[in-house]
Amino acid sequence: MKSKQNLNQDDTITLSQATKIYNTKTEKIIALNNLNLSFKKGKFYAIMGHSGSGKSTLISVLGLITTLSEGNYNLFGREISNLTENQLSEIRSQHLGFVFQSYYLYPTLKAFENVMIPMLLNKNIKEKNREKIALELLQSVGLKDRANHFPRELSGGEQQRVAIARALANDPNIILADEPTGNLDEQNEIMIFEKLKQLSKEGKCIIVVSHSQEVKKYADIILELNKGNMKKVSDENDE
Amino acid sequence: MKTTNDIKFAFLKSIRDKTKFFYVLLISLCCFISLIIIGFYFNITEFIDESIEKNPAFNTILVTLNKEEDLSDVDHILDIHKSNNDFYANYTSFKNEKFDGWLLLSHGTPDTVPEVIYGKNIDKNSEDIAICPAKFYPDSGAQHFKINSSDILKNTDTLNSTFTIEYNSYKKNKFDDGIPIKDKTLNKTFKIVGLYDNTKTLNFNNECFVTPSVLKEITDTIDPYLDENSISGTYILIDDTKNLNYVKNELYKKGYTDIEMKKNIDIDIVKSLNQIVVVLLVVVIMGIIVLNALYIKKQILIEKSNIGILKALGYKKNKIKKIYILENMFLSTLAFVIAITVFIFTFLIIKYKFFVSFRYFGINLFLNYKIIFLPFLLTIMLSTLICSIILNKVLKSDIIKLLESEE
Ligand SMILES: Nc1ncnc2c1ncn2[C@@H]1O[C@H](COP(=O)(O)OP(=O)(O)O)[C@@H](O)[C@H]1O
Ligand SMILES: [Mg+2]
Repeated sequence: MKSKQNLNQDDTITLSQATKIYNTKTEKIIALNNLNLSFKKGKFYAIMGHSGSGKSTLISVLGLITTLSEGNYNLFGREISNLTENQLSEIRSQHLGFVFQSYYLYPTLKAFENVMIPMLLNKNIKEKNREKIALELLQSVGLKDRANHFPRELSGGEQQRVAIARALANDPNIILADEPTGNLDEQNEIMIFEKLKQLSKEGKCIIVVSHSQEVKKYADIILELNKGNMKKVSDENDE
Repeated sequence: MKTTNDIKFAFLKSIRDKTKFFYVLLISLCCFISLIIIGFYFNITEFIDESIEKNPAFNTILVTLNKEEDLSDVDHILDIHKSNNDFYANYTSFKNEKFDGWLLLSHGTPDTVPEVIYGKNIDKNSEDIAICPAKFYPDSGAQHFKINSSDILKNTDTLNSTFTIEYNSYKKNKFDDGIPIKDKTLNKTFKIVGLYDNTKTLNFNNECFVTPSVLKEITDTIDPYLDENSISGTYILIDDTKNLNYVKNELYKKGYTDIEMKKNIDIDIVKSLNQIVVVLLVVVIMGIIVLNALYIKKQILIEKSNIGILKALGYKKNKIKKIYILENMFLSTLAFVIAITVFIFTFLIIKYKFFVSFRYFGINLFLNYKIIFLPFLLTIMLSTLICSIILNKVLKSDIIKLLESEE
């Protein structure tokens, strides 16, 4: 296993009194209101809620893409509010994997090259191993034979699986997915959720935003947001 | 990540995008145009400079008022002679099936003869010698640049050979009404002892320099009415172009009013040439700026979500900037290479196909780093600069905004 710097003391992610306020010209939008949450490795979290309820904002906060207005965010024992932009970039590169609704693959790079993008930042992966790892990751999402295809030559579901392989490139602890199946049909949706479920079983912390009821079948914990407030936390194991 | 990886990434990104080909073509077109403009400009100015430097005729003042002023107190004057004694032209013994033998004999002193490259220079003591063009074309066509380049005589054909020129002596008629009567036909024979470099001066290919005393003898003989009181011009040779104004001022002080140059390159033409070149270059620079700005802006807008994903994946601002600037440098270098290749081909074709005959009367084309330098700066530096300005702006916006800005 690759060495991960400084972040191993604790394997939980905690938000305490987390508040995110967007200040627009006309109004103050409270996107997240005083949330206290914690996420653990090896669990599949589904974040649900109506449109505008703050799901993407929560994912962005967790993904270090947006900073909190108030409150604390502790990532594996490290308080991130005081970190510089470059330090945040490093954590993103090493510990976080992202999957988006629109896949965001590089159109001029082949599938395996897309998977290699995060590895280029990783000093722990030797240059000569990168391509091999990328191919293994593609194989793990069932796309080994499409490795040399460009994104435009792949279906939506295949593109999203390439994106998942890319999110896994640096073997991060946390996978954040914002409506990863929003553009996909049911069959592809199941394939994606199954892959994410498998990853959670392998010990990763999976946090998925989804509208789909299907996600409930896979999630260990379901968080329901309503106008920035945590409406309901249900744990599959409790039910 | 090592720079080689950045380069590989940038290279892969750009080489596979066919829309970038248009950008490369447009930028290389701009670069090509700037190469043509600058190449043309440098060739003209270099030619003018060299001609002025190598040809004493550009340092010769003609004063047309015949005054008997003593000019010995004016510095920087190398030679003074009357315009009547400046040249004599006639058919010579060079006449054959290729040449009509027409030569121009000019007033020759070590100071008036352009750089001698074969044999020796003129000297005042030995008479009946001539310094002729190294690329010699003894034909009246040379005066109109009608030259068959394969017939041009080389130094081995001409050095140490002799030629004879005829002239008539005249006497005054009995009414003494100014119409001379031909007396007898005389001739003079000259030995070509030296050859001057006429490819970089503006001398005609059939202009030979002969000793002033001999030329004076010929020109005085053919015009019996010439005497002290007749009005003619006087040529005054100055040692250096930079002293021209000084001598002109001295001449004005002494009462000479009609002062002009024996040979001159129209300064106004040179000035307007400069202005045209500056305007054209500004147009090309604007073209490059606008094309780059439009293209890169469009390209980076298209790539905004890609930049966003790179940021989300943990790429630092500077790294993203590096990749995109490298890509742009790669494209603009490609454009430059295309432009310079096409330019060199064009240049060689013009030089060796269309410009051959021009070379024999002094206009040669050259290529040097000065011509290439500015277009190089323009294409690569300017593109890179614009790219980094736009990138800086784009990279300021946060990841979510970048990701959401889909084309
Ligand atoms: N950059 C922003 N500026 C202002 N308001 C925003 C911004 N991003 C999100 N919001 C607002 O915050 C609230 C939560 O948005 P979001 O997290 O995107 O919700 P969801 O993903 O659940 O649909 C919404 O009211 C939205 O309009
Ligand atoms: Mg959303």
